[in-house]
Amino acid sequence: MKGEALIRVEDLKVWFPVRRSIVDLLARRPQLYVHAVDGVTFEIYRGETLCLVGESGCGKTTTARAIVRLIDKENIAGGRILLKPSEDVLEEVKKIQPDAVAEEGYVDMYKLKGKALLGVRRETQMIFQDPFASLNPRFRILDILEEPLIVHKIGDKEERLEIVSKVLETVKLTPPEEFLPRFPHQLSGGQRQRVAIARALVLNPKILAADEPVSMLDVSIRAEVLEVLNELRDKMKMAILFITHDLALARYVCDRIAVMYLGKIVELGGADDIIQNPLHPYTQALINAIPEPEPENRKKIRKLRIKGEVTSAVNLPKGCRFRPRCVAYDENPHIQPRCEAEEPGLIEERPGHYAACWLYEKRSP
Amino acid sequence: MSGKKQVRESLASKIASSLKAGVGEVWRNNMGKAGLIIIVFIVIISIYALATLPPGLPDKWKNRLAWSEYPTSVPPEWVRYFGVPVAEHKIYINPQTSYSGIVTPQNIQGALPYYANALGLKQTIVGYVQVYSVEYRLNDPAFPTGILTLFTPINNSVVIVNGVERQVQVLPILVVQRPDGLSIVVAQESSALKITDLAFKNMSVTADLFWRQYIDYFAQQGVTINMTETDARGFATQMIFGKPLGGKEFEPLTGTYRLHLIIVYAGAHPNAIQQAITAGQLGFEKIKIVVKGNAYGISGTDNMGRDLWLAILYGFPVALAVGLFAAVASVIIGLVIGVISGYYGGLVDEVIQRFIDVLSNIPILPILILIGVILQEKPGVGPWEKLFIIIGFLVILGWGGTAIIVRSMTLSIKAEPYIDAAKAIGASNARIIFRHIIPQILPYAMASLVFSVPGAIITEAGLSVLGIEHGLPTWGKILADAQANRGIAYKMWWWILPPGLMLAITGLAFVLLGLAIETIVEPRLRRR
Repeated sequence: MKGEALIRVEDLKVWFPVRRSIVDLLARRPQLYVHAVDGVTFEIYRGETLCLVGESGCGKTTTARAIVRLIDKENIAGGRILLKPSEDVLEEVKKIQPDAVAEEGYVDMYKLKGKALLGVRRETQMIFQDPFASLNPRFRILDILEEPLIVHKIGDKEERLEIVSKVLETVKLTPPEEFLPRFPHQLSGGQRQRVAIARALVLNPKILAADEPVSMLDVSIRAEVLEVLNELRDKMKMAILFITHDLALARYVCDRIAVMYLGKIVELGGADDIIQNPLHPYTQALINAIPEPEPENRKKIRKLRIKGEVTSAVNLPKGCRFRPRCVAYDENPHIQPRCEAEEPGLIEERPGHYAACWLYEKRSP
Repeated sequence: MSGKKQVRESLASKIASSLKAGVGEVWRNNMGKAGLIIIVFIVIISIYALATLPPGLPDKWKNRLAWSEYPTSVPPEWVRYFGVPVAEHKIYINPQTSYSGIVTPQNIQGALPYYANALGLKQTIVGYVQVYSVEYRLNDPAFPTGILTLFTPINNSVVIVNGVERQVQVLPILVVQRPDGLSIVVAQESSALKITDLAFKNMSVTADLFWRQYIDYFAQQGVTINMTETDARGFATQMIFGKPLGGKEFEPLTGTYRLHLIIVYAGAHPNAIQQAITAGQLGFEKIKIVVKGNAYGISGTDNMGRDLWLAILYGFPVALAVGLFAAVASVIIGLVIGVISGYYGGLVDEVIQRFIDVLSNIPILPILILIGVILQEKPGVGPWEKLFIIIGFLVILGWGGTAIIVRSMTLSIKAEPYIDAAKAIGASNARIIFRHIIPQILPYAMASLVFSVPGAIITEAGLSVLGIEHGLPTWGKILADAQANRGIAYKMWWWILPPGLMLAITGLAFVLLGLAIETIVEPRLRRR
């Protein structure tokens, strides 16, 4: 599976400042931050889909937005995002802004600016969650799809029309002539999301961040959108960061899954591996929560192996951030001091399957 | 392939089609239809006014002397259709010569019978005489308000007789021959004067010439007129065009009046004068006899005799210019600054918002009064410049509200995912603002623009009434003059109502249009 990592996220921290009232300012209280993403590290390889799974507010979307640089520079509290652009874009960046080039043909996303950034943006695109809001209601489909090409000064009018038509065929909106003059409100949700995908594909990107692309769609049309995405990944050898809160969906779409909790990845591994054999107490609880398809089993009252509510991302607990909700912590008194003292890093329990839990600490090095 | 080509619209056709759609939408709305119709009318009248009004009107409006040919303080002519008796206002230019020749005491009865018969005439005239005669029909029982004679003499007052230059002198006399057969001298220069000096004389009627004889004449017929000479001066036209009822009462005498303007030439031999006149070396380029009616034009006149219709007409383009300029300028400034404030946020936003807070707390009226006073004291500033300086201050102090609303709209639009999508594409800030944000705000901006037009027009009128004047004859200026003469203006509805109505109708038109646009922008306001 391992190939060339198209994107490397290294210890990424995205903190948003909490707005202070005048009283806070006068009392000289320290600036507080929402730790939306708090030290996330992963790689996505060419032709691979990595799923980010987690509950609302755990920083999945922020991570995706950070990758396509929709987060302001001043909110990046640490770490870096390295992208491997295509050769010609890399050459361009080397020429315009050599300081943004990191090692081995990678560029540092948050050092780029101006024209160099524009060049790299061609390689990274995002699909948004809500197809009803992510398309400008005043634009025709042609305008929406043509805009990226105009911004990047690709082709003349005729060529742009060719490219746009081809992309519409790729996302199975055929015949293109029928869709080009329409407005978004004249399309169904699935068609709109495919337009949104088409917009992301028009520039032929290497890296695609898909933020819950099917969560707003009817179940009946989810499959076709997912099929389009899978096909694209295989055909165009893209690296896709797929964000979802649905583990079942993740298993269907992804090669690997990363489970996030409160801004940190708590478990990372192959999709089947994680579903069948979850290591982290949080993942176990998540999988436990998947509704049971077998009617007989539904009658049994299942006990969720989790307690309490999500802690605030402003004041994180000391030690392991999952500790206040962790059932394993209660059951394993011998690791409790570790849990309270120190935050666990990712520990490779099985080859390629990591979990951030002191339960899996190697007893002897 | 042709199907694909139709997909793309040119920018011009895009704008045209959206404009067409917008106008169509407004047209479907009854309020919008009414508003549009009135506005189209206002625009047509404005164009007509600009095309037909004399360019010097603002200066003429301020010049009291320029309005002497007009009756003062009279209502519009159409009041006759409401049963008000109207004496027509008539202007006779270059009337026909009814007699020219030499007059002697012997032939005067044959030559100028009306003059010879004029009441109690003790003097007689001798010399070369030209008579210009006109007819004036008084149909309604109403008194005209005066008779005025104006001369434009040929610029020569000399005839050469046997090689000697002779100064020609003239004596103009105006005789009115009444329908009851009575003839009276109503106007006459007190002595003969150089013919070229007549250019500076407007000859008007005076009772001094005939009052005593007039009283005596009617006393013989059994009507006692109880008047002193001073009294009579105030009743000159009533005496001329009326039948005395006794005391100081007169009743209009309807019928055909003949007005004879007698010009007596002296200072040289009559034959020499006749020769010079036939040769065109002596005489008049133009003679104008004006019988001032008791009603005038479409909108009457004010106390200075100014034709109010001209100012009403002039008011249309000025009101449009004031309203549209103030509205467009303040909405554009508000739009741009509001979008910048909302889109860039942070310190820029904070500075702009606090600036607007300060600005919107500056009291606008005292500042404008101050500006008005400064402008009035400052020489060499034209009326249009003054007007636009005043509007400029209205704009400068007035864009804040739009900016605040546009900012909040921008904030909500900025949070839309399609803006994020545009950013992810790499679209520049300018592109996002102009292609994604402003088109969303534009309908609101249009509605607020249309709504702020009447405000600007009425503020300008209000400032005129308060005495902050730019000197242009506008609706506000008419009202300001009426206000300054309120002692008589309260009886003169034609002085107050028309400009007030015009202001109200113009305001109404824009408000109706604005309401229609608002229902398009905000469909929740639709009633159906």
